[in-house]
Amino acid sequence: MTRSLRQKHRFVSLGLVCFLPCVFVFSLGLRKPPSYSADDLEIVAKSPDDYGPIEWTSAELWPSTKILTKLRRNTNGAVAVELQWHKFNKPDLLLYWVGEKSAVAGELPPNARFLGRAQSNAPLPIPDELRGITGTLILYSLADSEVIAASRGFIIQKR
Amino acid sequence: MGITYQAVQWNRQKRLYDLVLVAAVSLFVLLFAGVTKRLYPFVTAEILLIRAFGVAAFLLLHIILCIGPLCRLSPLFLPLLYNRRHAGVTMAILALIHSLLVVLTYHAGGDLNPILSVLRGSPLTPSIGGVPFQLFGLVALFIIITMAATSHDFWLANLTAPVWKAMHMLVCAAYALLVMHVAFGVLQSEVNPLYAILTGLGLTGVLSLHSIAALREKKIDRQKQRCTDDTSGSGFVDACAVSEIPENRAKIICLSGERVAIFKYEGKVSAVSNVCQHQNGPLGEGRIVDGCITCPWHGYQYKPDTGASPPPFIEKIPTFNVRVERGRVLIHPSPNRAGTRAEPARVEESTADREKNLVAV
Repeated sequence: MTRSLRQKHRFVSLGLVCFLPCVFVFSLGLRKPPSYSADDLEIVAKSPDDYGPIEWTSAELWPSTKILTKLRRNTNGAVAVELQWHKFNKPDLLLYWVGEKSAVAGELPPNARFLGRAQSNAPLPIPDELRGITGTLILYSLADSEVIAASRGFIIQKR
Repeated sequence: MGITYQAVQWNRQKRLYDLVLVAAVSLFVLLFAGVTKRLYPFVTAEILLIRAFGVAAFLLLHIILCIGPLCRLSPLFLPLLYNRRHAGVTMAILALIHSLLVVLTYHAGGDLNPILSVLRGSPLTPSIGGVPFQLFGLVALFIIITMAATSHDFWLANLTAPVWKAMHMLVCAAYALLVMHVAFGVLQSEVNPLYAILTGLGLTGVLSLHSIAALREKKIDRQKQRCTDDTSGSGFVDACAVSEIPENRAKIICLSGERVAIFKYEGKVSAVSNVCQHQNGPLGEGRIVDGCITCPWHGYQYKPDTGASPPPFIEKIPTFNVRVERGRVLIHPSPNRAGTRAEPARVEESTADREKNLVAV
């Protein structure tokens, strides 16, 4: 290697030594605790049958869309929400929960809690801490980066 | 060896290198996918593949970046350098697969152009504090693909080695961008600390090796320069003792800021530029094979007296006029034009001279 290239390599190496560790440590400092726990993963690991019988059904929960909502609860008290629709032609649907009654339009609220990938007739577990507080379900299209529908506010009773 | 830009032809070593490379990458991807599926049974196929190819590309980039400085520190690693460009192209392909899977999974289903969607950022990553980690990956991918596309000797011959090498130093920028891509991307949401620890270790390894190699080269330049500062009245520089040069090998010195390789072979001494015309490899770290100086990096060969590759090859390097007096090698600091014959100095004559001088004293 010629001397000029060796010098360039030296400057670049020393520059990266100063820059990259700082960036790396800074990025680790930005990390936030995950929005789910190991318990949530255990809940997800269960099969749909484990969520027990349907506690209630509502066809009126979603004001702008025809979606049938079912709530399942098993003997242990674990709760799951199940949506059912005929035609809903939107890509990459995700279901979120927002712990407030306020109307949701356009953007996903920053405090939205991710429940899972929304599929017709596939129950998604509701974490324990979301029970007993009024909240709204949000259907969000990941591909379109758009809130597709928001439910009316409702409360999942504790038992 | 090469004719025009087809410098290195396929040979057994090259095929073996590629075979090992492809087998290692395939094994890694399969192993990574298997272990991840076992640990996280609910991971989707898309996420699994995105991670497997992304990690494979990032890991291979670390290995590629370590090869250069390791070869400067020990010749034991030279076999890894021989076909490093194929490792680079493999890494570019892995990175491309990773990025295509990301675009298909997260950006291709909507009305927005997928590339614009990447530039706009993902709503799934609110924890990254607005840092556009996908943009870092996209720019790094552009650099890597450009480097892979220009890695062939055609570009090396047309751009010339210094320009080509300077251009390919952009890999440092790509590496910095990829570290940021990982740090502000997956590490923000990944709960398992293993990812952060391994990334930190990789970063430390790459930066340490490059720093050590760079500082070592600087030290060598200074030492060799000091040894050849004094010139005699004839304009020739006292380079070293003949006995310091091993048979069929070279001693490297620094003249006018650049390195010169002084070879001893068949009772003769010749001096040529230390820089191989192919990829600027250190000729002085090679040896004489079949009467030719052979570059340790890719096997390019030059005649020690003329600096020209044997026919039909056309590569040429500068030579230096050389003398041997009283067991010392003297070199004229002005290089001859590339390919110009410089009469080799006879080592036997120098011994006779020394005896004559001793008698006179």
